[in-house]
Amino acid sequence: MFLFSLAFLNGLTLGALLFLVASGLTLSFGLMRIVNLNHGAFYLTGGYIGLSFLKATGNWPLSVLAAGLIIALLAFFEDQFLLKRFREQPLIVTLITLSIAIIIADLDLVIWGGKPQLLDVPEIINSPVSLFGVMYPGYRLFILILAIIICIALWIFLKKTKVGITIRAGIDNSEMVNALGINVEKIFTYVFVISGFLAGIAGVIGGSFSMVAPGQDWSMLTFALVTVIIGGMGSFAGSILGSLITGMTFSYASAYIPELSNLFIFLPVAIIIAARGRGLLGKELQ
Amino acid sequence: MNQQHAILSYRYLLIAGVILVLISFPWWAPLFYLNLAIRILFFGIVVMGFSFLGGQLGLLSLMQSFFFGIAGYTVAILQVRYGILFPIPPLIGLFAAILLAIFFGFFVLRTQGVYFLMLTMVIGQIGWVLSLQLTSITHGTTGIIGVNAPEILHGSQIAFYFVQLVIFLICIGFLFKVMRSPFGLFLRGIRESESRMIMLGYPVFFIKLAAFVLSAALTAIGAIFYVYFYGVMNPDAISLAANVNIMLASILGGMGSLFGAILGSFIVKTLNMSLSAITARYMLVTGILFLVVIMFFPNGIIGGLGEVKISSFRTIWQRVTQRETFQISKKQKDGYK
Repeated sequence: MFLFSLAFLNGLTLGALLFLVASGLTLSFGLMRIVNLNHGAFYLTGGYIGLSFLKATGNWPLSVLAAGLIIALLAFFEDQFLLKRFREQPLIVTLITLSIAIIIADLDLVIWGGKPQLLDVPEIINSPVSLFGVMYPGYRLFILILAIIICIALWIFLKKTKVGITIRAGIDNSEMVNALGINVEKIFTYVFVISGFLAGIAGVIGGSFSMVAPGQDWSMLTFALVTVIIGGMGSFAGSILGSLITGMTFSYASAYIPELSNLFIFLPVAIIIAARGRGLLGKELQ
Repeated sequence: MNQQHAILSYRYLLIAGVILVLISFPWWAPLFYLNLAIRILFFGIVVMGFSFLGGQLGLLSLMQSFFFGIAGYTVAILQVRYGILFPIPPLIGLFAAILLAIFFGFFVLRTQGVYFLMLTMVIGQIGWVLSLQLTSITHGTTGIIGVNAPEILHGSQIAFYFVQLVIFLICIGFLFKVMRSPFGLFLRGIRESESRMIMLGYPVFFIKLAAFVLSAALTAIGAIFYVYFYGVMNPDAISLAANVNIMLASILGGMGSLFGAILGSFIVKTLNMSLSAITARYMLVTGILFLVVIMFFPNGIIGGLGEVKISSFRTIWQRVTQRETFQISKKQKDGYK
């Protein structure tokens, strides 16, 4: 019972982290059919930047914000200088992001070295909390709450603001939105920058409960892609559902069958691809 | 007519010359270059497998490393741990890769374009993580060491080179035949318009599956030589970086042409060997090279020359930008009943 509850809580918090990474990915795919394969590299670099900031200032919230902003800036430059010219060619753009992921991964290694490093979390949010008979690290619950807040904020942004409504319209039918005189490509830049920001802060947040280490970029990217495939490409609500399913699957698999936990990640993907190719909440892509 | 004849005989002369150079190579080349040649040959087979799928069907697979790992680890484990003698481990390795290609083909071939790339990447990455995680079977990061090549190849680089060369030529010949056969035409037909091929009544899904399996089998053959050459199988060999190397060679040379695949393998392996001697930042150089190739020469060297008429990268992305080809459509489902 103890293991069961622990796995449940771990799954929930991993899902919260995955949501931060995957939501940006799914929105940019929905808008432009582009899969950003350097999203994992953004995540890891965000973690490293947060680490450096934390060492310099000792202020955790500031580090999270700084990492998010720097990665957002990086995403902006990447979009402007590299991706913008190939808007109509999703495969080319996706391969460009793949090469950038490799470049960033190696640069990270040069700058921050190959040793796994831990980000220290302030004591106030890290005191253990008793839940379902488990003494659970408070920090993980804090992540859950933070993710829920960000999720609600994103939801309101997508539902209420003008940019958000345009994003949703663009995902539904980008040609129609273009025909209405709204530049979908510009909207894409917003989405790409927001997704970069989210990946950056997720890097610091995630680095504080696991390690910041080389290789994390690829594993996080794999998790995020799984999440997006399950939830449905381009669906915001799908990314919430997908991250919960992925988080729970991985958490229970690593609790009971640790050696094969990564194999079990593929199980929901296989079921989804076989039974419902567009994902749980994705719409048929036309 | 006469002129055509002349061109034809020139071509035969060229081919004969190349074969002569390849056969005499071990006797005049220094050991370093013989080593390099062996690596180019087995890497070339793997790249051909990738190019075949990419050029003929327009599918860029990031799970080639997965099949590479299956074949390589099967051979290594059967030989080192269970001490099974030569002809059996490679055969089982090849067979395992083919079986898994059929199994995974049923999932991944339902998708196309970017979605295919993404899905194969997920599977490739899961395979890589498993090779690290399943320490009881794969020995984690150190991998499985001490895989001895069979008697005839053991210790003699020249023998290894010749066996490798023969298999390499057989692979080229076979692929050449396949690409010129009706089957090759089906594949290109599917690449140009899948729905049309379905309408014409071809079993599109099974044709795609056959191509996928063939590509996996080539990868497995390359992997078997890899294991015998290095004597080691570890997770580095099947990382995403390894797969990107394959992709880089294929696109750099020019996807869809066998000669492009060979040229690309030659460039990438040579670069690989000379760079790794100078700098530890090999991946950085690879990444930048990949970026430059994708951005400026997506058709590769062969495609860029424009003399040889071959399918280019252009047709692939043109197809991908047509959004209806993105996912399983109802039509496609009817197609493979």
